[in-house]
Amino acid sequence: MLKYILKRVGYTVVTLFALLTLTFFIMHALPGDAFTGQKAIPPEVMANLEAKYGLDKPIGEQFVMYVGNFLRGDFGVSIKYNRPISTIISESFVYSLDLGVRALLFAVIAGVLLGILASVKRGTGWDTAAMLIAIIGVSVPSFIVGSVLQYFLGLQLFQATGIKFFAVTGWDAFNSKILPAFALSFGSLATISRLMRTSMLDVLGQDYIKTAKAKGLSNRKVIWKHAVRNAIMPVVTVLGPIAAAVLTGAFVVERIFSIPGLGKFFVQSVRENDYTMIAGTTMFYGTFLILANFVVDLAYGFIDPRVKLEGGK
Amino acid sequence: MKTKKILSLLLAVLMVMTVITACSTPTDPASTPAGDDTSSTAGDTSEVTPEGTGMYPGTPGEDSIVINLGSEPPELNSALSTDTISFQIFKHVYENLVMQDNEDKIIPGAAESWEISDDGLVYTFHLREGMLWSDGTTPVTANDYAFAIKTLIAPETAADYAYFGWIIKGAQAVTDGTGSVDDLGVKVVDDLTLEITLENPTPYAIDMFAFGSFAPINEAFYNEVGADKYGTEVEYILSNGAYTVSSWTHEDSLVMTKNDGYWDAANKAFIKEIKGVMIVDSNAALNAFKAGEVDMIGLTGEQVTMIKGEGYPVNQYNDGASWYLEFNLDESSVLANKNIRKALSLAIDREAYVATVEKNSSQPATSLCPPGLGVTGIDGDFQSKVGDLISTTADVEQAKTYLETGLSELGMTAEELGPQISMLLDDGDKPQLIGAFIKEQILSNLGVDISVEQMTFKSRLDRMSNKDFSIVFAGWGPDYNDANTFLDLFVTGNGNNHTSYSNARYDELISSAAAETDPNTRLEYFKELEQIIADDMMVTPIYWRVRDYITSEKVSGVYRSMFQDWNFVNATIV
Repeated sequence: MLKYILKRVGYTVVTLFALLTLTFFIMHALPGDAFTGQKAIPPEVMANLEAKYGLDKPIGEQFVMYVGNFLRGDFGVSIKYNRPISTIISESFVYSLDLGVRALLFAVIAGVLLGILASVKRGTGWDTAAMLIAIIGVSVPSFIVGSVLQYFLGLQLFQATGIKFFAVTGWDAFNSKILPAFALSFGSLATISRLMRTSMLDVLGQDYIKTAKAKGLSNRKVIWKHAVRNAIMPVVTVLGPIAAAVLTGAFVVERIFSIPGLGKFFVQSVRENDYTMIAGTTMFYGTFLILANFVVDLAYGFIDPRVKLEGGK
Repeated sequence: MKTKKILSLLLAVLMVMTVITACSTPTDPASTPAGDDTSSTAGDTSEVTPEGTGMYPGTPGEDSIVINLGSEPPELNSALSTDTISFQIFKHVYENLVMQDNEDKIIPGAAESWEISDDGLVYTFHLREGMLWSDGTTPVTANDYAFAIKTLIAPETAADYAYFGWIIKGAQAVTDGTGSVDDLGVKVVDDLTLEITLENPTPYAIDMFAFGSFAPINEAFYNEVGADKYGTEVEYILSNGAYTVSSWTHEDSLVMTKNDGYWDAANKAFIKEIKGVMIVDSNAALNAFKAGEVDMIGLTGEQVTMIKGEGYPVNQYNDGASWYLEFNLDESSVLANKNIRKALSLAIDREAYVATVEKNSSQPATSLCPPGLGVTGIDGDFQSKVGDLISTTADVEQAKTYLETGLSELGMTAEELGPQISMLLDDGDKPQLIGAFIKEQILSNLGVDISVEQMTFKSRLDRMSNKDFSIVFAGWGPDYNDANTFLDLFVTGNGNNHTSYSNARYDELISSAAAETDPNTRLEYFKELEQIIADDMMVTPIYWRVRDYITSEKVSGVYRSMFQDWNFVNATIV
């Protein structure tokens, strides 16, 4: 176990260094500079700007400084916002995390329940309805779900009743958090419910379920105690990627509901050649993704003792 | 079978919803290229107060309003900021030496009076007594204004807008490191007297002193918080205007509260609190407005039609931006041929452009400088004195004549010409529409099939600086209220002149205008410059931007003009 963890940590460090290096050279290969906007900048001013951000030095020297700063945990200052990257990330990721965790919890709970319902009531209207939700969830992107919810439940419902059930924008009161969390969770909810249904059907056909039934156990006990526990394994497996997707892919939902999360900084920094911000957010998300998968791998071993965490190849 | 029917119906409904909801575009005013600074009209500011329709009563607060800023001000450091939103906030929180009234006319600000020497070079400002900074104890002195200028032009500040300070004697040398601050034409005579000496008798200098880059900076405070932090968080801001920034949640909201210690607090800032939210998505902004979460938002073309259809009053203001096609005149480009440029220009129906692409109150352009922009010392706007130099509709016959002449000079056919011309546009839906419109006009009117390339903003700038383009669609917003702000763009070597255009007469007229103190002579110079543009067509104006916006029934007296995009200093709550 310890050997496995150490090995994984080693791989993580190598991966992160590769990411750090690639990010540096790719971002410096982007067309244009970090400063020019709609208005041209006189050469004297441009020289001052490049000196201020160390961009006047040879690229090799810049790279050494860049790696050195990262090793010291210094992400630098955003060229656009003039604020430390670490401050920007810690301030805005709080919102993304809050949104993501809510969405994830909802997706897992609702998705698992929906999957169980569909498998137990297989072939009935319940099954069809549950799978219809799953098809829509998988095929309709979150920005449409978000816009539709915002328009009908945020605006139309308010206009029809005069009561503010859901806020249209922002992230403060509880009524502002429901729609974005739902919009963000919908796709994952659908994936989870389909996975859960398939896995449940598989488990329900197993011999030990028949044995349990033959023993005279109640249907409820068979499903909850024997079937679900085994059927949930595949869901746990995809939880890593889903958690990462939900926590890092909220850009569109954050934009629609005007939530000050981190997604925007990540996307915009690339468009604006804000080098320090590109590097900072990429490394942050990269580390986050690697850690999320790592944690899921560990959790897997705890849930299913048959899985041996050895080698890690 | 039944489930299939239900499924197909549901999918159909979803597809319709997709169409309805997917056409959202950013509302953020800073993202539209022109108007990097300030915006809109002297003169024709129309303000309609919606009365008694009962449709959109607005936000609940009794002495507060909420407006959509559209995006975050990257920083509120007057020496470094370059974006529209920051400059609008500066108008509320800083008192410059001079300020602008609702019609963009210069009025006394921190300086109650000033004298200008006969040669137009020395400005002596007399500050009001007893003004305080927003900490309530620090007096506002002449040094605060002098320090702001020195910070703006200092090499270590590395301000984009340092060149605005270069109208002052010795400033450019300070920025490029060859001169000393000791030789700068800024002198603090005493606490309430500031003497500024200019490099040239710049007639529009007084307008520039109202510009955000000249907002005061308290030296002690600036040094205490440090240059790197100044203006980046609410606690690093010290202001002296009608409002103060009282809270700032990045990317979410910024609140301005009335400054009771402001020298004219009795007559300004009737609204106690202005909260600016940062809704980027245009559909979301409209939904928030309708749901009573926001009191003022900007509208897209489609939204204008929708709101007018509801019978709710839509307001307009001319933000002073002029949009034009820039042609590459580099010798490698076929557009170095003047006749081809004229043919392209005449083939475009500008009225149809506004009706199908902008779909709002913008006007087809007939010259470069937009209506409402003035010439210092001359009454009325400059555009009406220039007149209409370009037709607002296409003149296909004449366009074809120019095309034939041009083609025979180049020794090409129309089919061969098309692939030689590529138009660069930003990515996104609106640029796509613009590209499609221009391409279609040139194809159907001239039979020349140009190509359109969409790319990221930075890629486009890179291609432009490498002269790797034929046509770009560009916009410019005025920095100060004088025609020079547009016309000096096309001087040889100007960094904003992507056309490679160089004309000795043009350059001579601009430098003569800079040294000339007689307003009427300058007016004649500027008129000739407009005529040269219409003759040489290195650029061809397409439209003058007018922005549409709505306010809730709660707000009255909002002024939006060319040089104060929005101004609530005189606004009230109904």
